[in-house]
Amino acid sequence: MNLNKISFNLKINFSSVLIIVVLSSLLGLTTNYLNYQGIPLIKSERVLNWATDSSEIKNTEEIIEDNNKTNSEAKFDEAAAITLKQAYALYNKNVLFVDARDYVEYEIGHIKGAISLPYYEFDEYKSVLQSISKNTPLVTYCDGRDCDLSIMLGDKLFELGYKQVYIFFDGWIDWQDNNYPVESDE
Amino acid sequence: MNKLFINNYLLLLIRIFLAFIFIYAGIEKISNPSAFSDAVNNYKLLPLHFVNIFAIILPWTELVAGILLLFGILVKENSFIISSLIIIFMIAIGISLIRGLNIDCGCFGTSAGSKIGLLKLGENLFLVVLGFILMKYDSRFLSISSS
Repeated sequence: MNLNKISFNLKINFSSVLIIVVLSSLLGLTTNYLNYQGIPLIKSERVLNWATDSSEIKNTEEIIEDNNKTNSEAKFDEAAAITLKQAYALYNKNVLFVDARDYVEYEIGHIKGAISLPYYEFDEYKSVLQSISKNTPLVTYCDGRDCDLSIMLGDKLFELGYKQVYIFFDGWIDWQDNNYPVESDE
Repeated sequence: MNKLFINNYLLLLIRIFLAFIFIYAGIEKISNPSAFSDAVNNYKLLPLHFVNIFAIILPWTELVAGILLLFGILVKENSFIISSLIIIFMIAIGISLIRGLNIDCGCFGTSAGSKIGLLKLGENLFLVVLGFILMKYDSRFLSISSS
């Protein structure tokens, strides 16, 4: 591409363009540095902390008891990722599953007993959380390994004060493949 | 056609419209840097190392180009910057649509929360046409640098 020709036709001064871009970038870097909400220059990857030992996973009553004992002290540092096997174990203990996908996808099919809380419409749907105590263990999921919604929702719920949040990272696709219980609202 | 666009009022209107869109988009992103950094990351187009740098620099470029455009300073150059950015956005949205990603646009930070889609591509196409009109015809009416 011949930039000179374009600049001749449109009479654009590319050195001014460069100066504007460089100055804006410096302005951005400076304000980000001074801003207390600023972000690090290099993004850190969200490393999943896997719940390793399946015995760590307790049933609802035990967790509530534990939490009462420790006087609502957080047991987790962050939401913990779990495998399909662990998720199924939790399912059998009647732990509440939270579907982070769009409501339409939830309607088409979801893990049996799961509630819908679409991450992208969180504010619209967050009223479902009102009836759920902060001590209730929750399992978030979305489609599968290619989606981040379960992680983002898990982090969000943890921030909101839910003390035991699991991220079922394999998600809906693996759950279906294994013929585990599903239901549909259609 | 040329006559229509040589109309100072129309060019001024286009200039102000484009300027406000970019000022608004810039401010929304600057107000929540970490949310915008996540939005950029969701596109899965940039290596993790460059995500935050991009998320820091882009909104300020939008804001500065928008403000300069509003005041009529270096209109052609700023229209060029804005049009280039929109074309980059369109490519990013296009690739993500082909890949079937169901993600937030991040176009106006995350507060508007609109998803990427063909409508977004259409909106951007409209803006890029406006940008090209300004690049070609300039707009010196009511501008600080007009002589």
